[in-house]
Amino acid sequence: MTRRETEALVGAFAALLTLAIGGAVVSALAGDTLVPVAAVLVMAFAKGRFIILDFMDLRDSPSILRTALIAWPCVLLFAAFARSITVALF
Amino acid sequence: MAFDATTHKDADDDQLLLWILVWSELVAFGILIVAFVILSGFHAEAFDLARLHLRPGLAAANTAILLVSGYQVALAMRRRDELSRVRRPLVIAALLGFAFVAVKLFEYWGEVRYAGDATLNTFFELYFLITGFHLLHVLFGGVALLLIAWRPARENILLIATLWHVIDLVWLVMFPILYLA
Repeated sequence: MTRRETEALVGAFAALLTLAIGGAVVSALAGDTLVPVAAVLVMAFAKGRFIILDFMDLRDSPSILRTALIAWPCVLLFAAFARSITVALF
Repeated sequence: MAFDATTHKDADDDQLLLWILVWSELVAFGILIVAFVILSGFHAEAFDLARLHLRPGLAAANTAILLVSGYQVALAMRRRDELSRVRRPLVIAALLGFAFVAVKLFEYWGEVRYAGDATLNTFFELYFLITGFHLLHVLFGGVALLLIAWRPARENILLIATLWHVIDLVWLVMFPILYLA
């Protein structure tokens, strides 16, 4: 494991912890209105992306596999946000 | 040369099976989460009420536990060419996985009383089904991590690391959807 790989992994880990703390703080302080919900879902997507690209080490993997994996959290989190919008509107 | 070709072909086959397993997990969890999102749209008030009985602080603590555990597994995966250096991160990751299970069971202990409530039972049935299915994955993953730490092999480390990160990914997506959105 090279020094550069170590730094990249530690950087991804620090970003993940920051996003996790940020998501917890936003959801605790801002409640369940649309903007904080959107912020928490975007942070969840960012965390998933770090897991896929950095922890699973898929940055240089075939693009179709990487894209399909990143699409999985994207689709589910978007569905959850669409549900929040629908409930808020109707 | 022929041996090398066979070895690489076997390795490719293993990767294919690994990704088939990964996607079977993602599809299964995806179906459950979509079912939860759809039902939460039909029973919005009951789901919002049920969420008041959850303890997101404990779930946030579990997120941090899984992230640290995932970091340890990522370290082990990058050290898999030096098998003597993978045991420690794998054992730490497994112990953190068991810590996740303990926190989740403590969380269930405070929530299970609401499962019989007529207004809240749809939410809690799905909540226990989805999080319980995930919890079993963490438990078995933790046991597998310990077994692989005991007898490390390059291919097994790649296999358990990928599956452990998938379990991590599922939790990161599931957490805001079940507890907030």
